[in-house]
Amino acid sequence: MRTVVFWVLALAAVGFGVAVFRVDSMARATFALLASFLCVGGTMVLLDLHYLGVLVVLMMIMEMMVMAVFMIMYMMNPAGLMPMSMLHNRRGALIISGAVLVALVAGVWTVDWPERAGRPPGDPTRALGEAVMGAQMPVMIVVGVAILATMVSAVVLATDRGRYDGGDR
Amino acid sequence: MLPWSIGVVWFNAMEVVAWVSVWMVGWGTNSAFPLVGGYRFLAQGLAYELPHMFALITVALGAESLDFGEIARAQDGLWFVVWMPVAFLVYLLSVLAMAFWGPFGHPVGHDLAGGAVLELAGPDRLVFEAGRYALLVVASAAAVPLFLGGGAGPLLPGWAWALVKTYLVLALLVWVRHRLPVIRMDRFMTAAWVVLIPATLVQMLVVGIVVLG
Amino acid sequence: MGLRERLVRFAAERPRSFVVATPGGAGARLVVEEELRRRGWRAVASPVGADVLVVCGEPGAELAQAIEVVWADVPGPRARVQVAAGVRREAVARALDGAAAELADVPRQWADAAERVAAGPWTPDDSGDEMSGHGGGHGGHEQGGHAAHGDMGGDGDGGHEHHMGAPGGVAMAERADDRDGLKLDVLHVPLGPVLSDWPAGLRVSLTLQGDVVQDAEVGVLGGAGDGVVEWGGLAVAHLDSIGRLLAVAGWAAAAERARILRDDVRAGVDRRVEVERFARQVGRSRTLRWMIRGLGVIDRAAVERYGLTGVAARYPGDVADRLAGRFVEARKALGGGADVELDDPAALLRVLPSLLVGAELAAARLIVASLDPDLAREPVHG
Repeated sequence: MRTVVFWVLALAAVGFGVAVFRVDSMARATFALLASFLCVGGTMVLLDLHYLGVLVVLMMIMEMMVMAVFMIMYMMNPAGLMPMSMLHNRRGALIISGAVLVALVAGVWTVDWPERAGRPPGDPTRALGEAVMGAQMPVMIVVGVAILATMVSAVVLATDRGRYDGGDR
Repeated sequence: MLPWSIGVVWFNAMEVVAWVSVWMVGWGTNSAFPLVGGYRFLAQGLAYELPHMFALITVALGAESLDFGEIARAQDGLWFVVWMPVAFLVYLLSVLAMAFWGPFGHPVGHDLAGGAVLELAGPDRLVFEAGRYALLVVASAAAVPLFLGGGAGPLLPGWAWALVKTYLVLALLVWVRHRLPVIRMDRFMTAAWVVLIPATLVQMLVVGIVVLG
Repeated sequence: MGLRERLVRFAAERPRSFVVATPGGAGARLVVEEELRRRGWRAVASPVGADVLVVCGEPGAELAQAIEVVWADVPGPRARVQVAAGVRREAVARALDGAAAELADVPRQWADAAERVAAGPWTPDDSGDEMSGHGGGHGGHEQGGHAAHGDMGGDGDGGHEHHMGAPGGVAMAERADDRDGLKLDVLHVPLGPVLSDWPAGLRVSLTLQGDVVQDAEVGVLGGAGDGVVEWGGLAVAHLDSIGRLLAVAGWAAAAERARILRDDVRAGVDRRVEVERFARQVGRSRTLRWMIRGLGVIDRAAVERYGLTGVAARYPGDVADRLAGRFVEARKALGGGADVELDDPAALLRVLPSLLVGAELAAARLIVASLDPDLAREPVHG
């Protein structure tokens, strides 16, 4: 059962990823990308990493919607109403992505995957967190908040006035 | 397959889907005012989402669990609304903002003849409005296990108290709607990032210290 | 009675109505609004969400054309009511009853729907001219932009319309420089003439980039008829303007209260205490002040330069100052104050473009609502 779901999600993720480049409309490209990420989130849920999977879903939805703001704002032809090719440097991109694919596949097939010793942990998310961040947990948390503060301060410092005229600035 | 041990994160993820739906209604309608309405909602989302998430994290921190049931049970002695008032107020504000209702109804504002909803009629409008009210009610109901002790209370059984408390939260929100004009994001955004986020962070710090101590 | 008849009667009993005001039809609008409130028929902001279209007063040729465009967009079942400028309550009640009966008349609504389906969806060629959103066939269509009627929106799929720069026959938006040094799309969106809580007959053709106004062009679509408006007192006019501003500011409860007070004062009831209390409540609202502070500032120099009179001249400042000023004048008028000089609509229209440029769309609406020019031919007498 899990295998079936995994394959469905995996193929859907790749399919939506391809769709990002096939559709003309920036809005549709954004949502194709979102769908691809949602499939990846689903895959993480399959690994019993429920927290991380749902978090991926949550963050990707928000990020894609923010992307919708910037994409429609800055790009010509955002709805794809004019047939316009939006692919640049096709040969270079194909070569690079092909090389990365080959490297990853080679890695997947040649690496010595360890055998499972023991049973899966009761709380895979917690185990993963401890394995990745270990003893530096407080540092990680503080750094997270510091990054947020830095982003907000940078935006506040960069523009001395808002976009709208008059009144509150 | 999904255990409800991550209930709070799931709730947050599902509520964010509203961002997609309102923007899509605004964009897909192919009309100027709905488009503006859809983008107003995205701006609103950026304003309320971080304080909302910090409020939820504060609650989870206080209860040391992400499960709604656990959180309700952890308020056995003292309801969270008492020692996390900032988080509660921010949560109520985000309920209004996520359902773009009342003071945060600018995306469907009267000044743009209905904003995102302008071109919807018939069954489309019915489904949209029903979804919006459902979101409002569910988010208000979620305030009960998160801040108001779940079904705790004398005399009545748990489910009855939960209903009563949900009703009271909704009554409070309706009262707020009568008292306030619509809040526009070009004025509110600064306040959201510069006032609400530090406030919720301080609240989280206080709760963290209490939990550790 | 079958289930269908019962449902139709239930639905037709409280239809939603969209009220269209014409210059010179303000008196009729007041009567209509009061009657609608008395019946519990909700007035909606968008014609697409309405069942009944109520036209108050006699529109001129251009305005009538705009109303036709709006009428074509009201989804079925629909009914249309036209009330004359000097109408009385009984006539309005009869007309609204007729509208309810029309809505409940199922065969007639089916025939109307069949007719519209047979006419087909809107195409750009209908109007005979290009996309200029300023006028042409659209006649100041309220939704503005390139609103796709019917199924036209499906043409964007895969771009199978290969007109260069004009998919589906509607030209693409051009780009222009904006203040931040970016090159952004330009959209021509008219505000009015058929917009709820908007000065009757006013059309402001906006050039928008995003939701910031880059340019505004003001035009007036006149009404037919003699243009004399029976307000019933200066306080009534001010309370009406206050109600509109509060509605545009999104404070529906306060707007409703302003309108109830307006109707009571018009009926001759003594509401001085309530108006006083209401003024205090609105004045105390910090959120409202936060939202409308600093918008549309008219200083004394501007008053002189444009020759402004009325509220804008006596209370220079921003939208909040003008709102407070209207309350002061309303209270003075109720207390039997002397006649004051009223707004000259022509001067207000002259100052409007300079106020609107650089404002955001919501701010633009608030600024216009705070000035609320009365475009009837004869000025209002207090």
